[in-house]
Amino acid sequence: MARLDLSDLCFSVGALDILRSVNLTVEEGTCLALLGPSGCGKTTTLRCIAGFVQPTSGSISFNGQPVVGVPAHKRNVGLVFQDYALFPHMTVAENVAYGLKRRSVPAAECKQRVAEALELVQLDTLADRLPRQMSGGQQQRVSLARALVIRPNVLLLDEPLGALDRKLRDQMQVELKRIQRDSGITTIIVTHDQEEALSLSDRVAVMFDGQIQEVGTPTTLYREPGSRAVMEFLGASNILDGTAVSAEQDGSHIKIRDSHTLKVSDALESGRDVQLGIRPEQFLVETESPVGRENSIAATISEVVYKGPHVELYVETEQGLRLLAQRRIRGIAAQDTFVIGQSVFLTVEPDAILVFGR
Amino acid sequence: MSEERDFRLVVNVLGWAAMAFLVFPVIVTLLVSFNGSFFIEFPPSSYSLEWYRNIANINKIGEATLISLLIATIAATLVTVMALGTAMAIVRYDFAGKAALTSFLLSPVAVPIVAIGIALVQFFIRLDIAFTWYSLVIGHMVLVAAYPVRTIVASMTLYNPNIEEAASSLGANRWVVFWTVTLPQLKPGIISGFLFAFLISFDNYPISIFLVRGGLTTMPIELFNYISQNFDPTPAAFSTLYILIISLVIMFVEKRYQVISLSVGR
Repeated sequence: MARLDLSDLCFSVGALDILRSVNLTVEEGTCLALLGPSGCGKTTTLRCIAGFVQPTSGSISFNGQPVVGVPAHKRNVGLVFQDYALFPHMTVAENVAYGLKRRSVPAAECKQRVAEALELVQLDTLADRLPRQMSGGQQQRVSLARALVIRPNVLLLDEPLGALDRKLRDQMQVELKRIQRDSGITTIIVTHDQEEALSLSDRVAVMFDGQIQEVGTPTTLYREPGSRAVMEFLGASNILDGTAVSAEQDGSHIKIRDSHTLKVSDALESGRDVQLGIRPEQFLVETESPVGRENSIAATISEVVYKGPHVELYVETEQGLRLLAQRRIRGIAAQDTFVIGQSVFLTVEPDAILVFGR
Repeated sequence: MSEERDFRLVVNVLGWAAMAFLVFPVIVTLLVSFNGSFFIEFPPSSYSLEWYRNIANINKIGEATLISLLIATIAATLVTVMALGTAMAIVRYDFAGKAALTSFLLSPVAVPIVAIGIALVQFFIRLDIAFTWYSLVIGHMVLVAAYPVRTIVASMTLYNPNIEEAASSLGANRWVVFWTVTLPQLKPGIISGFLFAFLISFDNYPISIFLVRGGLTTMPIELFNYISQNFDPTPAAFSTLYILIISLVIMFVEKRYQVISLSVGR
């Protein structure tokens, strides 16, 4: 177990800069999700940490010990590949024992540790199977056991749940979280799935275009992202251009596209151009006009998307402002049915509006 | 539905016709080998095992078969080891002339075998090793080199290279990764490549005819010599035994190593 530091990590292939100064710290025993769109450099970062590629410049250290230049097989890093990469010619137990054999662990201890690892991932009864005789979810867990049994400095998971179907993914999320917490191994999960990142990690690092954009706990990153780009990447959002028109004691008014005025809780000087970010679930959707309330927008429903636990409502105001709102469905009665063309009123609390500079 | 039926009919007819073309000569050989009369006749009017007993009378057949076995084993082994390196280079790395080398190695050898034989004998005479074991082994290596390259390349493109990185992250150095992961994964390609090389070398006539003289001789050459001077069914008996043994070997290897059928045309 170790603290992991990446500092000023750069990686280029020819003239192409894949990593452009990545700085990141993962505290001992914590789990960080490296989240970004495909091609942002997250897998390259992982490969640099594992030692499969050497960074062009910058440093990587485990517990303050620099590891750049140390070959992959001496780094003691546990890796779980998206396609599991199990050894097809070895049984489950042999797969898990592979790393211990390379470390010349005595046979008795090896056997015991393999059994423990398989128990941790609840596969102790399938030790003699071959990988091809197992389901995707089981192979995933073998791969995890194989990486954990060597007691790695750092555990790296590359899109660990990407190849699993929805239901199994939800199960494995809970499972993975438990295993990570129980083992206390410093972990990095690379993913492009924001839900996976938010639910699995202690902290999330959002990566765009070869750089870390923002690091924070899942809650702060979702609720108070530092930039428009991060807000848009993490979940659904409404982004509105506006200009501050008046400042008050408890906030300021922002005029959006000549049509509406929204109150925000930030104090902004008059005339400043800003962008407002509103999560769809922050809108209160009502069918009756909420008389005298602040931040209420009248609109017409243009599309209704049923999502099970909630409905997504695409609405448009008379002035042509388009918004996405969400309404949770409670009860089984039909009073929550919305139809296209229906008039609704969206209300949002001033402190639920995020303000980004422009 | 009638087009479906027509399609199946055509496929079935073609399939059975192909089977018949492949199997019919074998059946004829088998029946003729049990022929009771001195002359090859089909179908035989009487049956005997005489021609099996007569195999021993083929000139130098034991010695020639042993030489063929040895030459085939040595040539196939050397070629398979070399093919392993070549296949890795072709699949894993980029280098100048790769495309040319690949198409040369992966296409069936385009030069007529007789031409290769003439070229080889001239070459060996220059080197002063003509009509020796060396020339025979090297000649056969030239003949069979393409086959294991093809089968090993095929099995390399089938496997997931991530497993090598997985092994290395688990603490295996380059050599250990090769022995414990790469090699076992390539086993079907290696074994079937070796088998192809062995079989093609073992019953080769057109190359060997240029490379043997005097005491150094091979099984197909002695068999052919016998055929050109005798008309009895002894070679059919020998061929039947040969087919039987090879079929058993292939069946065993297929069962034991699950060698994927990596087809090679020539």
